[in-house]
Amino acid sequence: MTTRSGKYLEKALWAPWIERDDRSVLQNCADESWDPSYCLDALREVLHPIVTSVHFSGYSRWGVQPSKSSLESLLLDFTRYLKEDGEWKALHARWQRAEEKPFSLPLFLTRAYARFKAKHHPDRHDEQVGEGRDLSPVALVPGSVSAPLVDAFFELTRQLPEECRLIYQLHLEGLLDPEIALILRTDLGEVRERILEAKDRLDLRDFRKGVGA
Amino acid sequence: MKTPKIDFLAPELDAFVARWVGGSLSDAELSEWRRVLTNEAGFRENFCDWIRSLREPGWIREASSVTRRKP
Repeated sequence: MTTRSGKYLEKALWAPWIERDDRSVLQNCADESWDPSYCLDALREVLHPIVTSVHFSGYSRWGVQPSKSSLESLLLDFTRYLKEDGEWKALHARWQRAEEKPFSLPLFLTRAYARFKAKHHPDRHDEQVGEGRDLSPVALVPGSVSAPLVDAFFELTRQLPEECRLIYQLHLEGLLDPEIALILRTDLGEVRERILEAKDRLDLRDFRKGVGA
Repeated sequence: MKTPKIDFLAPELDAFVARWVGGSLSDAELSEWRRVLTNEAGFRENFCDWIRSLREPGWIREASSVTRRKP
């Protein structure tokens, strides 16, 4: 990855999760019997960016910040959820298994928060109205017809050769080229070539069907 | 949203995802990971939602380079 964007993604997604060691935070929380208020204070530094990016992504991309009270309320709800739904327990057990590497608190909390949101705030798509959704080709389809049409379009991708199918599917889901390259551990130029190839192949087949060939 | 046969957010996958992020999956595991991403629409959708949610505000504008068709 040589582009600035790719470097940024690598730094944002990968490095902090691998390099950070938040075991002392977990130990402190354990010592306090996982009291939600204490844990919220201890984890605030880790939780704040997770909650603002995952829950309020649409708002932040439009440059609007959630109110302090709503953010605080969500943080506390999430911290309670961590304890009551057994997420703390699982985190603690994982942290104690020394053989399990890497251990990354932000990574596990991000996944725990996504589960919390799916369970308690399943209105994610209504809130995520920013550019993240807008960039997704499938998000451009009007809501009333989107599900069957999008399913049909994804069915079309099954016709693509293996080397460009997954890349194009990820592109359709709205991931950016540098993200796809990083996720698939491949070259950015290769990603762009495969996306263009997929577009050409699908257009050609549609055209042939249209003229009855 | 499709209901995934394999739930990307399942707690059982936490350790696997951590190993994937850490780049320590074997070739066979990576191959299986790609196979599931390719064939399980619900899994792929949740995975992509997760990746999108991790973008930092502002980065998307910088990185945005939607692939354009050849002239």
